[in-house]
Amino acid sequence: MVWGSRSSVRIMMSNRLNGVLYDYEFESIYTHLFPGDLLVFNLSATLPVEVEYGGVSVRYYDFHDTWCRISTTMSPPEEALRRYGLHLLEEGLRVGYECKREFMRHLFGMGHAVYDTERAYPLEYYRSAFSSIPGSAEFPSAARPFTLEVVRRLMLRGIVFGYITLHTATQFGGEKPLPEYYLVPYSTIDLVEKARKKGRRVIAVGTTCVRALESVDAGTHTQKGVEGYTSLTLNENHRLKNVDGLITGFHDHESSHYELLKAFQPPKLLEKLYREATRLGYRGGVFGDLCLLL
Amino acid sequence: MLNLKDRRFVVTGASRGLGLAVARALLSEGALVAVCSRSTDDLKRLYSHYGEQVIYSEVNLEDQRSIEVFGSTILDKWSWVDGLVNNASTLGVRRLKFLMDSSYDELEEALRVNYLGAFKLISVLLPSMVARRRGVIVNVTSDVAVKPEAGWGAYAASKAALECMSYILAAELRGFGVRVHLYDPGDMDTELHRRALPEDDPDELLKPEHSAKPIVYLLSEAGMGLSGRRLSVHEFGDGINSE
Repeated sequence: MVWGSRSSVRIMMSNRLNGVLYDYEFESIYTHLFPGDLLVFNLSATLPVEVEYGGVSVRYYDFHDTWCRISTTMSPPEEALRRYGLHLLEEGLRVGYECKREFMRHLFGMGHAVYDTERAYPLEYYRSAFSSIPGSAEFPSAARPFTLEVVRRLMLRGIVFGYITLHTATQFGGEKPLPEYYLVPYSTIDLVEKARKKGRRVIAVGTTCVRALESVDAGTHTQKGVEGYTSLTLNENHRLKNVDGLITGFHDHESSHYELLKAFQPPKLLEKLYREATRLGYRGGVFGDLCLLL
Repeated sequence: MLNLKDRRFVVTGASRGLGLAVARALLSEGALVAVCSRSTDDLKRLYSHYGEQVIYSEVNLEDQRSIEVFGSTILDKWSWVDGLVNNASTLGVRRLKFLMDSSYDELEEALRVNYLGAFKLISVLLPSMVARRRGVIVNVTSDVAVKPEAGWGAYAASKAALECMSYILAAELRGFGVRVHLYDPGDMDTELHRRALPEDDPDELLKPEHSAKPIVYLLSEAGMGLSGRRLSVHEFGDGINSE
């Protein structure tokens, strides 16, 4: 499933203006972007947040200095948690710890990444060329095929790169979007404004970047940028204000991610895109193929 | 002035010898330094002296998870790093012996620490450099990698692998504003050298503090244009710090 170069996936481009679909090799993506187009990436790196305690799986997310949130199907045995220096703050909701560094050591020692494949792969599989700041519970996977080689070609083409940080949350079996921490630095807001002024496109790499960028209201940012928690959910009624296009994987029809795609494409075109992708054997999941919605 | 104040650097193998000398030199320039080694006793001393300027962690470079914890701790606190010094290395063997007399385990240990360990740490820290389009990696090598001698098998092969990787990385990362330097610190009065060649006179060997200066120089803007080159302590001469 995941062998070969990370960039050897396919990408289906869908243009809402003419309703035409194009099937490409991902590595040729630079030919479909124009100089001055802005690609926005998520800097958040994925942590191995799923840990088993005596047969009970617990997922951690939203990490603070002395506590984090948890998601679990049943309450983890408190004794087992205590053995690792953890204590329940709120039943089934929050866990406290003495020191974040020791907690991270615990995660890396005992945990594995949240996975949708038949097993969890080693951590480097869940790292993209820009995974810098640890904090995500689920892998923001759309950036995975952007290998350094692809990034270099995009740079030579004159594509501009912008960055945001959004740490993804996770829940067992839950597709309800949770509030997530995000930071859109001033430099990125500036790049978005410049691109739009010049008539260039702002393309988010991954739904996380859409959520972060669309949470920014023009003129409300400070010198640092915009930072906080976002509960924004997007659907077909949302009018995009900062983003023009999206590169993302294939999502379940029932998921909130799929609803988000409707902000970019009319539902009918989206259905056509998914039908066509299935016909051509596109693969879903974090190691799967991509679509480019313009 | 090298202008390293508040810049963020990572130095491996910093409990003794060259690593410790580099960490001290960087700290005295006002930089923030994350240090690691297999035991933290000596690192704690750095922490107690320089306080919050220092992040220290026990890291076994043979263990990927241990490397990931170290990298995550640093990036969680700092968000990015400006430079990495891959200094930690092991002989693999207790004392020098012929290649054919070494066990597979000994060969593998040297490769895992000196080559793979360095590569894994680079993989964890590089994304933050690529995103900012700036960064420096200094890989510490040895003359035995280019002038292999009998007895140095495991160590020399691993350093040669590190050298080859450095040249390739330097070429690949050129477009991203990330420099990769290879640095040969010469024969120093360190524990590794004492174990390899116990008969050498310590007074004739270089002091780690002397060999550390060029690394600090390479980590600063002054190292611009030297990426992808193998530099030795002897090419630097004295007094580069006073420029």
